[in-house]
Amino acid sequence: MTAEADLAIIAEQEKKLVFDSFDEDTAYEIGSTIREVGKAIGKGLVAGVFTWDRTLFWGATQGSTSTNWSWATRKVGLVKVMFKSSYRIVLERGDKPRLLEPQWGMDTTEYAIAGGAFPIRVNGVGIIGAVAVSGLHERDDHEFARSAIARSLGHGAEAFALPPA
Amino acid sequence: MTTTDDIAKVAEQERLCTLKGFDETTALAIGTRIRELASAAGKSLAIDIRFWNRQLYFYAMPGTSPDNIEWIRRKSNFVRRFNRSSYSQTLRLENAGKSGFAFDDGVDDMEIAAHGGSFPIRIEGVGVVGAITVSGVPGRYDHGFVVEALCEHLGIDYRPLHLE
Repeated sequence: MTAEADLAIIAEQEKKLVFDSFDEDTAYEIGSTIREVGKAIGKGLVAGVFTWDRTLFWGATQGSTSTNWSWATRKVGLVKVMFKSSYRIVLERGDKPRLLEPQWGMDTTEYAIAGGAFPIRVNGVGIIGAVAVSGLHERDDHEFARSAIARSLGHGAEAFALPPA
Repeated sequence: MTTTDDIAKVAEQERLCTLKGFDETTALAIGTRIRELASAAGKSLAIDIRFWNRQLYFYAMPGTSPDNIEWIRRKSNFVRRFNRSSYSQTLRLENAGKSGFAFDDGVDDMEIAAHGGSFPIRIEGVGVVGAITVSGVPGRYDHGFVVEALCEHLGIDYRPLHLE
């Protein structure tokens, strides 16, 4: 698995995983799916579903801490500004330091370059929010979010999956 | 028309003016149309269309001032917090004989204004993703410009929804 291969798949994920509608029930379904999967494998993680003005779902499993809250919301911040999944931004950075460039004027308490936040795109509207996971390796955080979104859209959990690392 | 009638009519405007989609192109079209309506009426407006994470359209007509931008900010914050038009709040307060938010509403007057002119962008099956806001004339008429442009865009007859 190379970064280039992952990037190609992630571009496909972002293109295909698009909603016709997305409401509070959709958010609950996605968030609770992630939380249940995390619990089933015994991992401490948090799952959040956000629109740009509010939190629609927040859940945590045992073993997660407030630092996961910070990571999740800062990853969502990155999606909010860049309109790409945060893991795609990580991979596109390549060998460059995983730091917000000073000239971007982005506060590290609000944004983080780390994988795990996936855009919620609605047909005819655009990106209205993001699903974020924190607690696993960032590639897995990303995949947990992607998988729950894919299931909610009626695809299988493995639809557009990244290959095993 | 009583205030109660107006409240019902504004609720009807909000119910009917629900969109199936709304993107950057829609914002430009509606913003431009509001500007045309204002020009034709000989009014100066500042016009703002935003999603909650970014501004999609802004235009300030000659005769407006920085104060209009502040009003837009505070009125659109009302829609963001309450997900209904800011004029609906003006009417509710009027109906209750109140001049503003109550202390225990926890609403900061510096951030949120209950004055007409900001209207929700509500998407069917999604919710309120942003606001269309106008400032330049009294709130009731700011509100009217937005609703008229939205009705035209949606192919809805504005006349029965017009506030006298």
